[in-house]
Amino acid sequence: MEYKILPVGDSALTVVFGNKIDPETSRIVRIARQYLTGKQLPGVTEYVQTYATLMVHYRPLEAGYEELVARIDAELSQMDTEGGRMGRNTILIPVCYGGEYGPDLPTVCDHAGLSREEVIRRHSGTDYLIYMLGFMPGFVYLGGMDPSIATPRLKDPRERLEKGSVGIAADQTGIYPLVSPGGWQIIGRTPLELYDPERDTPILYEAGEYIRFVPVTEEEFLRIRREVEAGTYVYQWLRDDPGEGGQPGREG
Amino acid sequence: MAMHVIFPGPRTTIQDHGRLGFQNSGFAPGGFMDRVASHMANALVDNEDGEAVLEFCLIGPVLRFDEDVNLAVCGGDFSMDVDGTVWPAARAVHVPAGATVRIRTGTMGTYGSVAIGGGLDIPEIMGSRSTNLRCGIGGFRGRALMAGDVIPLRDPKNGAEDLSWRRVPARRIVAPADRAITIRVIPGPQEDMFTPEGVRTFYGSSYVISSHSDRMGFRLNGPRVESVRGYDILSDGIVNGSIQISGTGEPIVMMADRQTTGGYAKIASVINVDIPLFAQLRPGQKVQFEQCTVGEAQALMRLAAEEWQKHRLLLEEEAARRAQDSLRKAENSGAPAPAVPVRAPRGIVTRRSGWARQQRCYLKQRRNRCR
Repeated sequence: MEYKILPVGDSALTVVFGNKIDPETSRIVRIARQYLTGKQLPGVTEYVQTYATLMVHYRPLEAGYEELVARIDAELSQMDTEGGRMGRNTILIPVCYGGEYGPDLPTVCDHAGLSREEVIRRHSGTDYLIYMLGFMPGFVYLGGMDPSIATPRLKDPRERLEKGSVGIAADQTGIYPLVSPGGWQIIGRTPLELYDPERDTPILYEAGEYIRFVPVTEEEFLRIRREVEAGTYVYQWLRDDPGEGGQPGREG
Repeated sequence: MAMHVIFPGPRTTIQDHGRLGFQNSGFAPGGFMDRVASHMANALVDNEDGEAVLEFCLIGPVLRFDEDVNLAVCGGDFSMDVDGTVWPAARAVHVPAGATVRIRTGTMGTYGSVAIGGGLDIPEIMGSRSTNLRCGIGGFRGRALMAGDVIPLRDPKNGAEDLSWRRVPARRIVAPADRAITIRVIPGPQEDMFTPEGVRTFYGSSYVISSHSDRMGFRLNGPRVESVRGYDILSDGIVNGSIQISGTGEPIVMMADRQTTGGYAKIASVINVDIPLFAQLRPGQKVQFEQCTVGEAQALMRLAAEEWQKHRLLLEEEAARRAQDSLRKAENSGAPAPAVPVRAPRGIVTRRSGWARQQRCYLKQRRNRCR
């Protein structure tokens, strides 16, 4: 495992593990994040995982840069990137495709030259790796979309995309957790609250986990929406997890 | 027992130390634009450093309180008009119930912090009272202040004691508008994306603060910084003060309400002690960047922290002396002794404990999530 550490201002540093988008680099960044989190390094306030880097935010009054770099080097040399392979956690995201929830589904069908059913099947038929979150709370950068349904962005971005909008932009797919302007081709909407500040975990998922879209009818969409609003909805996970003890660094 | 907003000012929000621990979920901490000014204003009214303040942009609010209260304004060249009497920044003002408080704007500075003795009684969301306009959470109902808002005070008794003796040294804040101010930066992490000529341009030119600047970021106008090939990188983390070079070749300095990640190359980052100063620059003012090492920047932070600790201690000692005095006077006059408040000394120690509380809350949330 090769990496380099660079300062980012005086209160953060970045551990660079690579320079491309691929699941293996992402896996290493995630293991490093969980491993270091478990070590509770003095002065460190939070870790931010991106495609190929791990940003470490710290308090210089508690740990200086040189000191922290030495500590991270020492920890990473002890880290086992192979042992304790993490289980795969997949969250199921119900999506009502097309109609008023997905006004651009016909555009995507035309562009791909596929039927509505086939586009939905291809979009929901994959587990997407969450490479990172950013841009807005809970916004996921996903990998693994079927290239046959890739569609360019709208020429004229919409001023308002509803919360939960599921869209395609070129070869990427994603969900808008908040109302936002945007140029994505919107093919559906999820009734889930991906971001809820009142919840114990305001954001449901984290980098390294997977998302699977599950097509639902409008009736199901409305029923789930009511359950979400009433707080009775149980979020559906497929957990292939070795358990609390089996994960390196997870909460120590 | 409440603060009444008569006139809000165009962009007045409630801000504190910000939301820590959620950047990995795409949630920027937000919080004070000018940390130093907010700490000062809070110290003046005997609040903890990280207490929520009213933060305004250029034009301050008009307020009224239905209880005596201690207020302070810090930041730029602002002053406080209480029923026609004008008080300068960097001192506490004891405001009687019913008086009208107007914040006046001077010639320098952009962001002002109004601290309210005892703080505002608004809930903490995700460990903070900061307003996050994008998510519509925190502060007062998740939005900027509006005329007619009535916000309860958390400690209405704060105003019973006149704190107007409290002063902090006024900050030598901003250079006159016609001179470029030097802001120190640490190069990287993508300086190698730029040509040597581009790097020379960046450090050798002065840039003008654009009017398209807000809590998310300050755009700068000036010479293009030449890149080796394009400005796009694989998205990575962004800090408060990260300087991105966007597609136009001009710099954008990312501020409190920034995105947590981004795909433009970052040539440098503003050092921590210079961020409050930079935040006070007005559109049209000029800035020039100067390189600094991480070691130097962190030594400056330690120095600033010690300096600030000293000021807080001086205030504490003076407060204790005054309490003793009034106790003695009361004993001499034979009147019953007034209650002397007993509490932990304030300052950096308590600021850190605020941080520790947030961290515990964060870890609890992480644990719940793993179950």
